[in-house]
Amino acid sequence: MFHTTAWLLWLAAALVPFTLTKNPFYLFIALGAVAVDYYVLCRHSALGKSWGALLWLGTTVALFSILYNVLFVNVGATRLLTLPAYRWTFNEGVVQLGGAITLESLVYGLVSALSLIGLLVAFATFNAVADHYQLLRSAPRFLYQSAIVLSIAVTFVPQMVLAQAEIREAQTLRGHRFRAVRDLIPLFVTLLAEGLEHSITLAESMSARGFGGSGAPSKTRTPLLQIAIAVGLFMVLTGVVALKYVSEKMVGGGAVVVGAALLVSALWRVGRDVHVSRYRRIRWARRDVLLALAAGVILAVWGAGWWSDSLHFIFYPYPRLKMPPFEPLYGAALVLLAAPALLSKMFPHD
Amino acid sequence: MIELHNVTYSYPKQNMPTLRDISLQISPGTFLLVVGPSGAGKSTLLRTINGLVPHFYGGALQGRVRVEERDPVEFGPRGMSDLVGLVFQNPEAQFVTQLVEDELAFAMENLNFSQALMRRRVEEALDQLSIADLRGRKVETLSGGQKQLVAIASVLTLQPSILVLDEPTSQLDPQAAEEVLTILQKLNMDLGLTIVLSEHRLERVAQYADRICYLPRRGASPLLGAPREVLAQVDLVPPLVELGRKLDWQPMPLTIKESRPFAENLKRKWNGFRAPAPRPPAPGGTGTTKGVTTSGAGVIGTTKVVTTGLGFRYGEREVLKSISFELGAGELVALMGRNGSGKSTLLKNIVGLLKPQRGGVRVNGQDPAAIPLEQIARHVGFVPQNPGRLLFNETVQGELEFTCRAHNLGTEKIAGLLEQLGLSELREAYPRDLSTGERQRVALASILIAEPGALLLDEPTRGLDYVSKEKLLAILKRLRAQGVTILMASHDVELVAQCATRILLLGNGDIVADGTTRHVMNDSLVFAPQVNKALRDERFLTVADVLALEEAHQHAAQS
Repeated sequence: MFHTTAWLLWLAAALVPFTLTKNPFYLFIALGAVAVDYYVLCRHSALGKSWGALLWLGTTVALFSILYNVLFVNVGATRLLTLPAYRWTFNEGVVQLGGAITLESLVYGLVSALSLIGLLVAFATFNAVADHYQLLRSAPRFLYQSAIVLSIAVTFVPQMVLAQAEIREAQTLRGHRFRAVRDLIPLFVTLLAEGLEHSITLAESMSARGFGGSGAPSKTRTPLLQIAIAVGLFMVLTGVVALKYVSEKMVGGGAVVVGAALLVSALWRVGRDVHVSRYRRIRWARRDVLLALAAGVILAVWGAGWWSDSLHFIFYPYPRLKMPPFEPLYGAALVLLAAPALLSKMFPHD
Repeated sequence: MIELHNVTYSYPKQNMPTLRDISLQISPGTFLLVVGPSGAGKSTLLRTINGLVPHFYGGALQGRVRVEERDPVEFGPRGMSDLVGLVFQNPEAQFVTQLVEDELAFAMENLNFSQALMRRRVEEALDQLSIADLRGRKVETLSGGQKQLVAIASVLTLQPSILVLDEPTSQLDPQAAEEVLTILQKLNMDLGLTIVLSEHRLERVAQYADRICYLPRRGASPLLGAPREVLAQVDLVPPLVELGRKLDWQPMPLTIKESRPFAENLKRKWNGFRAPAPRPPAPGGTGTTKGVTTSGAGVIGTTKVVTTGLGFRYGEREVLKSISFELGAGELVALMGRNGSGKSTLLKNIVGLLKPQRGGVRVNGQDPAAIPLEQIARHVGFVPQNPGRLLFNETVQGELEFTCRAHNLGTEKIAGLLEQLGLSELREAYPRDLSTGERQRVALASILIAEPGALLLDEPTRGLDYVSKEKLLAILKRLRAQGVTILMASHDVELVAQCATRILLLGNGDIVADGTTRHVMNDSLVFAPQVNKALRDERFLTVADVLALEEAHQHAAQS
């Protein structure tokens, strides 16, 4: 397990390629690196194994998206084959299934699938390895008073992932077969209900153990802060609407700035009422420092690259597929995403 | 001192109050037991003490609550946390951290205690509950009883003067439950802690309580008094009290020790009298289930389950070593053993959810692991520990229709089954809004509608009140009479004593006892029902057994 800050940095670095680019070279490297992490760090843990089923589901959806892209998007100069076309009118437009199958639509479907699978693997690895309690403690203090929100945010996904295998088994034992997407309803509805019930019990337990500050809330200050938060939010929203639809930019901008200031100061004041101590200090071990450095390098290299030439990362295969650009520095930086796997082997006792 | 004056509370969007005009006074150092049927408001009452009600749930609370001069409505659960420690039914759902030691420190961190103070309090709590050896363990690796002790320790570190526990032993085996209750008694006696505990299994806890608060139903006035006073007036009583009432034992015994003199007198009175040997229970009910022909005259079941040298391990941990047994058609067998002894794993191997790593399972001669699960489900029904895992439809009727559709069955039998299980009036209800007992019956119905020849139940009485247990008992007896083979993993010795014909006792991965219910229970100190513990005679497992002999004896004496 890594230090929470280092681990959050790694997640941020891992999300960069999958959200910034559709360049297949970079996506392949990033996916390979996070897949190595998942294999090395997660394959033996219960949570990691439970994520396996969801990863398969995600991969299936991603593969389906490739098929969808190929069959419904007939744009592109490089025709691979032609299928019989079926057309029908939908919302005053025409939808076509089949027809020209192009290399461009196939490649676009593939890179979209790579992004989706990469995001899933990165989240699965992060979630299976993260110390959820430390994550909870890392949250801003003004959120502490909303124990239920925090407990749902931090435990809902792991709880759902752990429960899904058992719920799936239970439904299968009623004779249910999971063959199509609609067959997943019994799984998802039960998962959602169970996950929420679990989170509510946890939030109750956390509140009953003083999470979010102790003592009676002030009868005057608490309502004032609530009003300040509501007014701040209202001003920010009004300002945004004004900026978009009203020509007077000063009014909109002013409302956003004042509202944001009010919101931040009210939340800061809420957070000041929460005083917590630490039973144990989580020390930075060698591997945490190295992981943070690796993530920092990825973020710096890609951040600088995006700043200097954002067009380099944009890959769009239409209308005619061209070889995507590749910069070895960016590719090499992405290899560092495999650092958790490497570091866990190098410093197993840290 | 805990004081409630004319407290009325309604949850949001509910017209009928859950608590109505409740007035209670609980003195410091009292061990109060809160009992009553499911849905009577026990958990709501408990949560009123630390302010979770109304702070967490909303709704309207009228009246006055004072806990050590503090108003929980004003202070809220966070402000009450140093005064009231609350422990929930399911310890797993309340753990925030991964390590035992961190879990114990969690509440103190929230109240900004210094590190030195936290260290001292953690040590004290570990020692008070004799769990110092668990300090470095991950909570997920603990047994059920250990988890509950850690949950108690995690609130004790704040040194509250009141400890509130919501059904803390409902998921524990008898031994683990005993450990937890003994610790609570010690905390009550040695530290003078006020304990407020709700529980369905009165036979486990009645002996520890100074006072009992009985909530008869939702919105009704509670009955508060000494255990003997209250138990003399309520229907829901442990078997020992029921026996005492029927035989007019005075003062009414609450513990096995107190019942011994009465039991000895009874034995002396019978003085070697033996009633004619009881005949095997007559099969009742008529009808047809899959592969089973039933009539008023006899039952022929067909589903047989055989395991041979079954072994299973999770990673390094060997859970089942070499399990061999045979379940005859129409048998009702109880699978007992400590938490973590492999009961659920064995059931999952039988139904094909897990594949034996050694040996094998045969259901009617077929290997379940080699057949698709949905096909197995036609022959072997499995109701998991948490019935909520099965339920997702909008209505009870919808749940049963879903199973029928999955098995390509008609829906014409739904009405009859709902009637049999006492669910007809709930047919349009949302299953997750139902009480624990009702949920359990809906889950059972959703499996039984496929008419499996064998039924596997995993802890079916978890969280059930006496009324729901009676209903479940009647259902099990009826199914057995219809020829359904039933294997039931359970910690509930009283239920097993009333319905099982045979017990398989698991220990350390093996079957350590396999015999008739009478024989195994009479031979065990842990898995024996109260009546048997009092009389220590194989003939007596239930109140009915004793009353039958007493009646026969009186009849013989008169004639």
